[in-house]
Amino acid sequence: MLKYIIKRILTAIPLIFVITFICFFLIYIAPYDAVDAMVSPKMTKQEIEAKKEQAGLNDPFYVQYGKWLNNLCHGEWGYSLTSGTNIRQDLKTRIPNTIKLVLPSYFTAFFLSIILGLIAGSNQNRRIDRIIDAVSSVGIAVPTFWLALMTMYVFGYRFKMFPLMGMQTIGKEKSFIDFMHHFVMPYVVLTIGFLPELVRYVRSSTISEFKEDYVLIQKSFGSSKAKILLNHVSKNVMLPMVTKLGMALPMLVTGAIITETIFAWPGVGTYYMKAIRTLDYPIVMNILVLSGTLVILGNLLADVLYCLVDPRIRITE
Amino acid sequence: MDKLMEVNNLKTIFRLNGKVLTAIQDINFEIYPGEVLGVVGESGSGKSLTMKSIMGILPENAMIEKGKVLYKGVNILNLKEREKRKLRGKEISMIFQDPMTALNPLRTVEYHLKEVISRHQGGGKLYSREKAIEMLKKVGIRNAEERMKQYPHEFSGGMRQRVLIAMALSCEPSLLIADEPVTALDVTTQVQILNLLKKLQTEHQMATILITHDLGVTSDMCTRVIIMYGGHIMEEGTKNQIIFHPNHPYTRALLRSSMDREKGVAKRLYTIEGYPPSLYEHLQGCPFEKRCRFASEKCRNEVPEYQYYEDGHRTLCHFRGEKLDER
Amino acid sequence: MKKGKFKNFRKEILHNKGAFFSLVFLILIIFTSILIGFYDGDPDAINISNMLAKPSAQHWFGTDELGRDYLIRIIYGGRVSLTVGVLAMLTSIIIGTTAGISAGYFGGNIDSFIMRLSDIFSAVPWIIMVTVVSLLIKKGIFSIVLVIGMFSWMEIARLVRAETLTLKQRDYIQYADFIGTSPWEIMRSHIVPSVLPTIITAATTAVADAIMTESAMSFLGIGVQAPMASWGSLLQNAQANLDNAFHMAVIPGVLIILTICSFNNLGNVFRAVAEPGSRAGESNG
Repeated sequence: MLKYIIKRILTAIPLIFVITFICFFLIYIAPYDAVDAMVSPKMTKQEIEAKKEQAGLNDPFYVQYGKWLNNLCHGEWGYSLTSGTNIRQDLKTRIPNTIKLVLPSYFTAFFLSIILGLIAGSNQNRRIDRIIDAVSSVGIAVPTFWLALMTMYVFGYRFKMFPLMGMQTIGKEKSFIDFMHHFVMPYVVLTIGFLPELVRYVRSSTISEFKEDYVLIQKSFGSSKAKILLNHVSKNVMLPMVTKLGMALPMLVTGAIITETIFAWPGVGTYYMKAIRTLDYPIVMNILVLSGTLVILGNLLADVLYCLVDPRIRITE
Repeated sequence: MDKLMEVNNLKTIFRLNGKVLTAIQDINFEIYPGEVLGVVGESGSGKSLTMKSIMGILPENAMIEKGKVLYKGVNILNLKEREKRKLRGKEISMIFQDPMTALNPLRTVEYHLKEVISRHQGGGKLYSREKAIEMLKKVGIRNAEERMKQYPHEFSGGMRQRVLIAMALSCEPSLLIADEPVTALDVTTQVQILNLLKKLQTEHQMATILITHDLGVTSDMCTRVIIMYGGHIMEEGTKNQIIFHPNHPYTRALLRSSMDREKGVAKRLYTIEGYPPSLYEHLQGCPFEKRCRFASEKCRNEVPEYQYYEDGHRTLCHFRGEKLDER
Repeated sequence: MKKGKFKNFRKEILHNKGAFFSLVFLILIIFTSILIGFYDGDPDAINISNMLAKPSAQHWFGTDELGRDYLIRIIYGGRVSLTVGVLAMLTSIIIGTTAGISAGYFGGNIDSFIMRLSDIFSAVPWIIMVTVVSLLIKKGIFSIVLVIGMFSWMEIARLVRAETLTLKQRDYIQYADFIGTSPWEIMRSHIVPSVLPTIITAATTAVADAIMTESAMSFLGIGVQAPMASWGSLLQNAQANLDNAFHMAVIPGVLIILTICSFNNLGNVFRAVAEPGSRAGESNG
C-alpha cells in the first residue's frame, strides 16, 4: 500500500507542473502587458523598453516561464498591480480568514448531511424522506448569493441582530465575541449552501446500500433495521464520504468566493474578485496556481485516505 | 410425529407500477423435524419467494395476501416484527445463493459471526468469540482464529458459503432454509458444500428445506420433494415417487432433461420448450399449459385441481399419471 | 417504441403533480419571454419621480432605483437568463456528446485523452475557471454562453461515453462495422439515436445549471453587462438597495429557484421514463 501511495504522490508532481504551465500560459495570452506595472506615464519609450528588457519581458516564452516558476518556488509571488502590495503577504493574512469561515461550515454541512442522508435514505418514500428530499431539491436550486441577500435583509437590516459586513469591528480585533457576531451569518449561509448536494449524495448512497444483498441476509439473521443501519449500512455509506473530504481541500481557499464577496469577509474570495474586477493579473495568476495545486493535492489526499480506510485496498497490495 | 412447520394457502403478490401481480398462490406443504425437503423449480417459479414469505423478508413492493405459516403450532405471520426477529437466525435460519455478496465487505468475518451469536444467545464477548471459532472449525475452516479476523474479500466463494453456514447454524436452528446454496459455486466446491450440509444436517438433526433447480441434487439429500412452477406447487411426493414415478408432465420433462445430462448422451438434449409464464400474463388455465405436450382445451381454460395418490403424493394437473402413461 | 415513450412521459406528467406544475410554469415563462417582444414601451424608461416604489396596482413588481417598471425588467431579464441557459446547454451538449461518443467509440488514446481532459476540467472549481476565462475574452452574451458551455460538458461526456461503450458491444453495431460501414455513419445512424434519451435528460439539468451559473456570474459583475439585464444582474442591483427595496431582491431569486426546480423536475421525469428501473424498483422472485 505504501508503494501505491508513493506512486500516487509521484504522479501528482508532474500534474502540478502542468497546472503551473497552463496558468502561466493563460495569463501570457491575456490582453495585458506586464510592463504596465512598472512604468509611470512620464517615462519615455526608450526607458520603457529598457525596463522591459531588464524585467526579461522580451525573453522567449519558455525562458519567462522558467524564471516565473523559479520565483514562485522561492516564494516570490510578485506584487499587486493596483496597490503594489506583496501578494504573498496579502495571502498570508487572507487565507486564514477564509479557512476560519469555510472549515466550520463544511464540517457542519458534512456531519449534518450524513445524519440527514442516512435518515432519509433508510426511510425511503416515507414522509421524513419526502420532506428531506424535497427540501434538498429546492435547496439545490437556491443560489447562494440570493440566500445571502435574504439572510442579510432579515437578520441584518430588519432585526439588526448581526453586522452586515466584515469579520471584526475596527478596534475590536482581538474580541472573540465580536468575531462570532460577524461569523454567524456567512457561516449559516455557507453551510446551507454546501448542504443540499451532500445530503442528496448520502441519501442516494444509503438507498443503494440498502439494496445490497448483505442487508437482506442480515435481516434474515434477525437483525433489526436500526441495527443494520447502525452496524453495517452507515459504515459503508461513510467510506466514500472520506473521498469527498479530500476533494474538498481546495475549498479552503476558493470555497466561499461568493459568500465572502457579499459579506465583505476579508478572505481570499473578496481579494480574488477585486483582482478580477481591476484586472490585477498577478493576483489572479497566483490564486489560479494555488487553487490548481490544491485540487491536485486534494485528489491525492482523497486517494490516500481511501486507501487507509478501505480494508479491500488496505490488505490487497 | 408433530409437524415442525405447516404452510397453508399461502399467496404473495407484487405491486408494480400500480398493477397487482400474483407471484405465488395456493402454497400448501409441511415439514417434519429432522427431514430434508427439496423444492425444485426453474428460476422465476416462486421457490425463493415462498421462502422469503415464510421468513418475512420480502422486498418492499411484495406482500403476503393470505395464508398461514404455522411454526411449532404458532402462526408466525401474525407475530409482531420484534418477535419475528427473534425467530430469524435462531429458530429458522437461511442461507442464500450468492455467498460473494452476502457478507458486508467492510466487516470482518468475526464481526458477522459474533453479531448473530450475541444477538440470539447473549453471553459475553468471550463466549461469542469462542462459539464463533467453534463454528468456523465445524464448517471446515482451518486457522479459524486468524482467518476470522479477515474481511470477506479474503475468502473464496466456497469459504464464504462456509462462513454463512457457520452463521446460520451458530444458534442451532430447528429449521434451515438453503436457497440454492451451491448454484453460484464451481462444481468441485458444490460437492464439498453439499457434503458439508449433509453432514451437519445429520449431526444436528435439523429440518432442512433445500431449494434447487437441479433434480439430481435432491435425489442425493432429500426425503421429500416439491416441484414448483409458475407460483404453484405442481407435484409433491417422496423422493422415490418423484424420481421413479413422476405423475406430472412438468416433472417428467424436468427429469428427462436432467437424466440426459447425467448420462452425457450424445443425442440432442431434451429441453422443455418455451419459457415459464411471466407474472404479467394473466392465466385462465394451467400455468404449464403452453409448454406441456399433453395440453388440451381444458388445460387452457380451467385451473386444474390437485390429484391425490397414495402416501401424500399429489399433482396439480387435470390428468392422472396413469392417463398420461397411455398417451 | 418512441411513441410509447412519449405516452409514458405524458402519463408521468399527468400523474406527478410537481412535474405538471413545473411544465406549466416553464411554458408560462417561455411564452411571456416571447410575447414581451411585442411590447412597444421602452423597458429602460426612467422615471425619477417614482424610484424604488413598492409593488402596486400600477407597477405590479414595483420600480427599481431608476424608476423603471420592475415587472418589465424582470421579464426582459428572464428572457436573457433563459436564452443564455438554453444556448449554453446546447453548447455543452454538443461538446459533451461529441467528446463522449468519440471517447467511447474510438477508445484507446483518444479515450484517455478526452477523459483526462474532462477530469482536469471538472477538478478545478468552476468559479475560478469562469472568472479567469471571462478575463481573457470580450464580455457579452456570446462569451457567457461559450464560457458556461465550455465548463459544463464533462458530465454529459461521461454519460454518453458509458452508453456508447455498451452500445459498441451490441451485435448490430458490430455487424455494421464488419460490413464496412464508416464510423461516422455508425455514429450518426446508430449511436446518436440510442443515446438521445440520455442527452435529453442531461439537457434539462444542463439548462438548470447554466441558468444558475449565469446568474452567479452576472451577480458578481462578470456576466451580463448593463444596460442588458438578467435575473442575476437584477439581484446585483438589488443588493445595493436591499434595505429600502426588498422586493427587488426577492422576486428574481424566487423566479430563479422556480425555474431551476422546474427544469430539474422535468429532468427527473425524463429519467424515470428513459430508464424505468431507476424508480420502479426491481421485481425479484
